[in-house]
Amino acid sequence: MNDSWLLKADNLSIGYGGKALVDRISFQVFAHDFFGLVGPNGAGKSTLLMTLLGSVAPVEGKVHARPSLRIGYVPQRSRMDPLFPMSAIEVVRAGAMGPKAKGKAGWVLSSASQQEAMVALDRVGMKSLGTRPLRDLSGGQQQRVLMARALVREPDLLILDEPTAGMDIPSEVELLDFVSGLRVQGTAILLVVHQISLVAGRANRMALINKDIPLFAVGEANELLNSETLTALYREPMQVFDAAGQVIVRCGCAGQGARA
Amino acid sequence: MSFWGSSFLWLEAVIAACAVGAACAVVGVYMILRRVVFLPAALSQVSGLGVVFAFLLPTLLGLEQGTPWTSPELVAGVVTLAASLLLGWMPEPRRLSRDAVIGVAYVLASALMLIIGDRIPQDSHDINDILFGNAVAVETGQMVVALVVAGVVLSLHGWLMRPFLLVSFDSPTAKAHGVPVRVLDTVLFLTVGLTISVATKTIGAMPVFAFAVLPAAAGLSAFSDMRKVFLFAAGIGAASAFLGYWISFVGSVPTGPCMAVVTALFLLPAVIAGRLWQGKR
Repeated sequence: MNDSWLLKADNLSIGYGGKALVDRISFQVFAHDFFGLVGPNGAGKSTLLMTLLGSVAPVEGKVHARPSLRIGYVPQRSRMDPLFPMSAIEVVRAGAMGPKAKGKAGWVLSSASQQEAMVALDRVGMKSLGTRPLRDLSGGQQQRVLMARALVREPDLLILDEPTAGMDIPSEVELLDFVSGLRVQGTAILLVVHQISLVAGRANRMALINKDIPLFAVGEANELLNSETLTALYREPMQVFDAAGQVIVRCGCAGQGARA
Repeated sequence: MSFWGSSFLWLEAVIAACAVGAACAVVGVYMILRRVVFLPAALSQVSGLGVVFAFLLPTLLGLEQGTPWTSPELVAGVVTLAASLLLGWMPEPRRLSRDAVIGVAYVLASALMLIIGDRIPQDSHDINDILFGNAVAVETGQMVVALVVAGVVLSLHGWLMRPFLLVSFDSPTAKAHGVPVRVLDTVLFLTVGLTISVATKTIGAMPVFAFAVLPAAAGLSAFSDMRKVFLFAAGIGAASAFLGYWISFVGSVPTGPCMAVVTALFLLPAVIAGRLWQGKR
């Protein structure tokens, strides 16, 4: 791996009120990575993400971002307040705000143009619904709008927090295929999920996280996707199969197969 | 004497009321969206506390009454701005709602105002006017202050509407995208504090709370477009101030409460219109 890291967690302890949930973790997200941050519910993924994004102060350690890194963030849509009467295109236009270009001080507080926002909506297949209020759209459609908002700023690194929550399987696959396509076009991806099957076969690198275990593992995805590692992470018997080149992760406890 | 024939009596008061009515309505939209709807009420009481504290300051500091930097307007303004920032910046408490903390501020400021106010050797009617304004009699200087503050607040909100909306709607994303969330929040809550402080001094606490809640509620009920919400709310704020004053003059009823009731009358049609438009979409 070359040295072109975009985001780096350096001996990072995360938590609230000075109490660490997860201790001393270090990893890097490189340009062109599809990086999966995976852990069960309550593992501390959201806290880690908020720490990486600067919304929560680290208990210890540091987060480094490459100078002038452009991050596009796609939050969980359940956090969007339906009280706000904003159309999809207005939400997308706000995505352009942020620091000025490299070498220039200050911030850009103006929005993207209607046309730029429409192009971003078109990329996620939402052009025809651009004028609709966000709160009137379905969950999957709202997720696409939030994706368009992140894309309108042409990010170097796209960070997605549980983007497939509440989606049906075809929508889930479509969204993940789209995200994989962005990586091919040169945008690095950091995908936070609790279902390992969503990143298996897509992510080239992963960090597996669980509370009370100092960052369980970080590295190449194909090295981490094995029954032993996943069983220790989820504290349940897990099985990993290779079915004609496709990775299948199965939870042995409930007798239900997870998809890959 | 007819209403229009006696315009020399009310013109300044009505202009001032319309200006602060529009400004309160615009900042009030954020109060509803950010779910801190009782913040304007608490800030009105804090502003009153600042006024009575200003009367006590010279005695406490051994200064002569009338020292410029202990003027009630200045002290009330500074105290209100500080309270606005504190209550606005406050993170969501883990075991209480934000509104509960605002309620504590309201009760504490009201009680302290009454305790300290009892110690001030000033005519009670004068103090009441200074504390809670008098929508009937507004001096030229006060009207100018109201116009300037309303102008600055409305211009800032026009210019920064989208950034204010982004940090209110989705602060983690704004932060992740490098938007100066803390700076924008500071400006937003300073405009809230400034508006409430000046409006309370100009027209009184009750109409200020009405202007900060009802026009915004009407706008948010009627429209799904933020620009229309702000324009509609500002229009209702200004129109209610004028109509309230007119009804008060013609019917010889108290002006502040009249403004509040007129503002409330706009709410029901706005809710019905919103439902109808939603059905057509």
